[in-house]
Amino acid sequence: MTAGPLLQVRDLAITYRGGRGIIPGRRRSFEAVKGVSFDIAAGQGFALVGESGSGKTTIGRAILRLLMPSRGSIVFDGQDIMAFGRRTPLSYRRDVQVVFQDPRSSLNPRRTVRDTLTQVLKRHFGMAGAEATRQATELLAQVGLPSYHLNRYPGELSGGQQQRVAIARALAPKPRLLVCDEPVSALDVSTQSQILNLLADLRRDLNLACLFISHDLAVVRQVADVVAVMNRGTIVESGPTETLYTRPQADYTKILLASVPSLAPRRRAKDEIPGVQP
Amino acid sequence: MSLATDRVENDVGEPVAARPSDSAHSFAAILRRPLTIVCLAGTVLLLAVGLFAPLLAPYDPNDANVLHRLQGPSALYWLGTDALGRDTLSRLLYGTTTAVETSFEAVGLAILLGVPIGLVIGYFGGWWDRVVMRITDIAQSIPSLIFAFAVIAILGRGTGQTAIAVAIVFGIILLRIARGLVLRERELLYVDAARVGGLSTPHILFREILPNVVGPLIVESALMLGSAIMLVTMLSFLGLGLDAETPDWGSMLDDARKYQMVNPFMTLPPGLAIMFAVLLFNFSGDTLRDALMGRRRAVRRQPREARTAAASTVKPAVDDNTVLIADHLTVGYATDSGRLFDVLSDVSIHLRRGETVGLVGESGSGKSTTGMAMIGLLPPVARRSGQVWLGDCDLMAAPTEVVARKRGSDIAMVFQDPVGAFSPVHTIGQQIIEPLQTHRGLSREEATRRAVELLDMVGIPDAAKRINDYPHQFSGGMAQRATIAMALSCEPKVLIADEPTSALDVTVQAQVLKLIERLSSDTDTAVLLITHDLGVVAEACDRVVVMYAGEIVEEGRVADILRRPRHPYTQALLKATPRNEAPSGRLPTIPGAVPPPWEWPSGCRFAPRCGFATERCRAAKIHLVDGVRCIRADELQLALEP
Amino acid sequence: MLQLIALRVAMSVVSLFLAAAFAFSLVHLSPTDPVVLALGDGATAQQKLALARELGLDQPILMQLWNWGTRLLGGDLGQSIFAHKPVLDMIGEAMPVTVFLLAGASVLAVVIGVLIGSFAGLRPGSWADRLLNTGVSVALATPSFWLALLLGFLFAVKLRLVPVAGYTPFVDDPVAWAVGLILPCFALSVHGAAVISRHMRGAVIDVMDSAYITAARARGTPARLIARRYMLKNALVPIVPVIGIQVAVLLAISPVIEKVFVLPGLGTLMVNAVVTSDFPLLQGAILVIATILIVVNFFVDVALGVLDPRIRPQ
Repeated sequence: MTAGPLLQVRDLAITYRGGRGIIPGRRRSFEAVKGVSFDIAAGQGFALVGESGSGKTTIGRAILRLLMPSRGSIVFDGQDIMAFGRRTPLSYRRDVQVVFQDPRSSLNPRRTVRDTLTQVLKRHFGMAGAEATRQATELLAQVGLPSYHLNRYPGELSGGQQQRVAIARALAPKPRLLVCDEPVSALDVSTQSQILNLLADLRRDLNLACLFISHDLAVVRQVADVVAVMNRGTIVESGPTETLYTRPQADYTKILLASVPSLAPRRRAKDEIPGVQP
Repeated sequence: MSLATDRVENDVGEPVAARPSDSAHSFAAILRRPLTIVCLAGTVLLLAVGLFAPLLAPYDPNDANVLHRLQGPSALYWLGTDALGRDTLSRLLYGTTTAVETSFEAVGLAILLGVPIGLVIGYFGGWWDRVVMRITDIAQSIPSLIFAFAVIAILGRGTGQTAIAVAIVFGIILLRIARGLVLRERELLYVDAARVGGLSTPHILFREILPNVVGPLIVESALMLGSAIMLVTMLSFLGLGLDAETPDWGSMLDDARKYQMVNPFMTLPPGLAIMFAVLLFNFSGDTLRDALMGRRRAVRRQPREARTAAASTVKPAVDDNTVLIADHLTVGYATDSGRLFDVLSDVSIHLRRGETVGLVGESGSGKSTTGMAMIGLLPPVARRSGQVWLGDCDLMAAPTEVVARKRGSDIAMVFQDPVGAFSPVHTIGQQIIEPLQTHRGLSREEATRRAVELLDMVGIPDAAKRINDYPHQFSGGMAQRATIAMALSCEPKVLIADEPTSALDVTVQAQVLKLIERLSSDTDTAVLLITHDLGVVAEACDRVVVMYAGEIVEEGRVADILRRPRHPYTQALLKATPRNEAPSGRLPTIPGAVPPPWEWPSGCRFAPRCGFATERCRAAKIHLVDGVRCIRADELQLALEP
Repeated sequence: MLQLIALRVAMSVVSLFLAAAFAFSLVHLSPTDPVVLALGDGATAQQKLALARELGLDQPILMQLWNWGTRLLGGDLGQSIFAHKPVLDMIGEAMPVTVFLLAGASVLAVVIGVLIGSFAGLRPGSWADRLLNTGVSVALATPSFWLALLLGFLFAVKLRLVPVAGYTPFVDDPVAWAVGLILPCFALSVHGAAVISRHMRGAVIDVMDSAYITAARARGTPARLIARRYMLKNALVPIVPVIGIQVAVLLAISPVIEKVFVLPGLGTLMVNAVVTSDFPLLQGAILVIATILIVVNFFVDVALGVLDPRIRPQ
């Protein structure tokens, strides 16, 4: 393992060729990310925060090699991943994993939980049969699910349970960096904190670095060590979480923080007397 | 393949957690329906006849007996004879063999030709995709039958050649279908997850995507069997298909046409045979579709308005400031097998002029259903009881025309999806002026002028120009301002806002909430703000009603409840809501999950997850007393600050 | 809007070119010598040579393509081997018949299909809906040519309301022209009407379930206005491509209808061409049919752009 940050992003720029236009070949291009740089250290919780269209999800997808940047470099553990060419080496797929926002569609509806987990185990470690099932059971235990869920289909699970399975799948290859793209946005409040606690525990126990992508500033404050605020494709400000939240420098950060609803009641009731008893 | 589950959303779109499938729609149940049995039996019969025609036919189909030509049905020849004296029944039976053979051959070949190519080019795209698609485009410009002509012109007549011709036509169709299916699946997250998981491309294509795509392909192929029979018989009818020796329904019809004047009966047997064969294959395809792809959105028979008689038609006495009273609202549904369950239990809410009441709850709490019940937009299949008094009118009991007139004018609603609230093919202007025309009788010009004013007032720049824009040209925030403007255009007494900011960015959320506040105070409108976000409640509401599992668990002034929640659920919810504060150890959670309506306990519905539950809590139904539904409320001095 | 139209014209030209190339290639794809196919086995060597020269088959392929292409642009589609008449003339006589048949059947199919589909879609699950659904299933399974025979027997032979067979050109006698087309157009339209009605029903159900209809009801829009204004236009958007496809299907079925009612259209021409291996005639007919469809698809795309503002280029 080399010294230095686990993930190093320099001057990353990503351009979308706008949707299938009617004219084949000529498409409107749209620069979603305009030159972004940041580092993530091993075991660190790093958050990319921004509203829709800020480019945060795009960066996540580029790190996962689901799309190709147009410019810049992404260096993971000393290796430039842009140099991989078309095929992504299995070692990278072992080291970098993902948890998506919508648990329902991130799990194959026609595969049982067992299949979803064991096929990853087979791919990375050659495990099969009873050994794979045992490991899958352990993974489920790690995310707090009893083993009888192995035989279930995603459609039979609640949103929280589905997200746990997705996390278990991500943990299977023993990654070093977990990209979490809005992992709790689709969940109820009561389930959100369960998943957030789980992610915090896993990070601590496995020394797992986390790239946390979210629009929810309150959530991010609870889970991240370092926060970078994005607006329209660039990072406007970044720094340690508490520093950024208590002493924001950039105007946009201030606006963003001011928009987060607090739980302090603001209005006063019009009437002091509650409703008539039926 | 276990398809024993389906996801359920009740009809107002509130997701209800997945449940074991209602037995009425499982694979086995579909097979037991009488119509299915009849048609499957018919299909089996058809295939059997095709297989055993030589055993069943009384005569050789080519046995010409000129003395008996063109006869009608008789004891000797049950369906009569044709121009050469051949027995129609025998020819019909042998024709079954031909029809079944050719159609299966053609479709089988089409599957082999079209599906693999379609799957591959759909997944990989690129140059291969472009080239193959341009080639198939040619076929698009040439109708199927005529394409078959061209192939037959090249290859000549005959059974094999006809099958090939038909196979090419259907193969191209299947190619495009397969490609389309793969394109759609490729965009889904589980494919991305598989790629990130490191699974190899062949694995992804064949073991991840294919199982999801096989179902529709099987259905299409089954339906194609019927089309194949049509196409083959058409070619034979034109004299282009099979050779003269082979008995075939199409050529039998051609003969019948020639001798229609002499023996009109001849047209019936072959035509009916074609019709029944195609009908059976089509029906099998439809049954396969129902079985393999799970239940489509069930189109239930619409009952007459399913209302129970109101307990009383007397409006409860209230002060003049109360504009809306929802009294003992209960809403429920029935599953397809007749099992009943409630989604809302005995909910009562009062709204006063100028106040904003927050209705807060998680999924399955029934908050959206409450909103829809108040404005009278529950689906007709919903069973409901209770009253909703708007002024002196009970909206639940009043006739639909009366209620419709009040909507938009006395009571209005804005929804979560701002752009989706507008018809995409009409301009914003056309839709905004509607309430002004319908309820205030303004002319088109007057209404348009007023609409521009309203858009301006809600902060949409360039209002006069933008009023002629289409909904997809508006951003989420702008569209939501437009819906609010429209809702308040006739100055209603009540505004129901169902998650108005959930789909918006956080900076826009704050602006929209302020807008609702400003406008409603100008018009003194009572606002029911439905949300899952306690932050929104704290910002924008005077009073709050907390719902859990279809019931109100606590209600009161926002200031009180946020500082001193009395119900354990409210407290737990407050604690679990992430705040913009420095983290202090683990986030508090609520163990377990919200139970679906059919699993609601008979005692306290929160008891299974409550840290303070006792046996008494679980024993009997808990009532709302003094604004809280907890028998231990007074004992437990719940406070957020220790 | 103009941009959309220009775009579609360009694409249509490309499609036409591809169809032409396909038509051209037909002769060369045949495993049997086309000359032998046309003349039969009993032809002398001299006759074969003469025909080969006439068809230009003795020249290199690219030369043939060039000749064919240039002649095409000049409006010359070659000479029918069997009838010894210019293909263009033969097609010119036959085309109006098919076009009128297709137009009449298409209009009927759309009108009937949209009406039935909307009616059923607005009251799904009712007995009316289920009855219509059964009727549509039966209509889809009924062979058009059989239906044509039965209807012809009933209305033409027994009731003598319409002529049994034959075609009267419009210029000769407009009334007879119209009356003679009633039955063929109706028989042809049934299948198309069934498919369109099924899709329309689905589209109407989807639209009535959508968020903007709920929003319209929430602002008190009268039910009739909702159906007329919002449901119809939105439901038609997914139907327009279906209509385009069904016109192609109707065109595909038209030869059998032409046969039953003895209408001298393109279908009849093509069937004869296939039987006699008359390649020039077949090629010409295919090209014209492809052109008709390309024009129809062009109008379908433009109609879609008119209806749905989302697909217009920004």
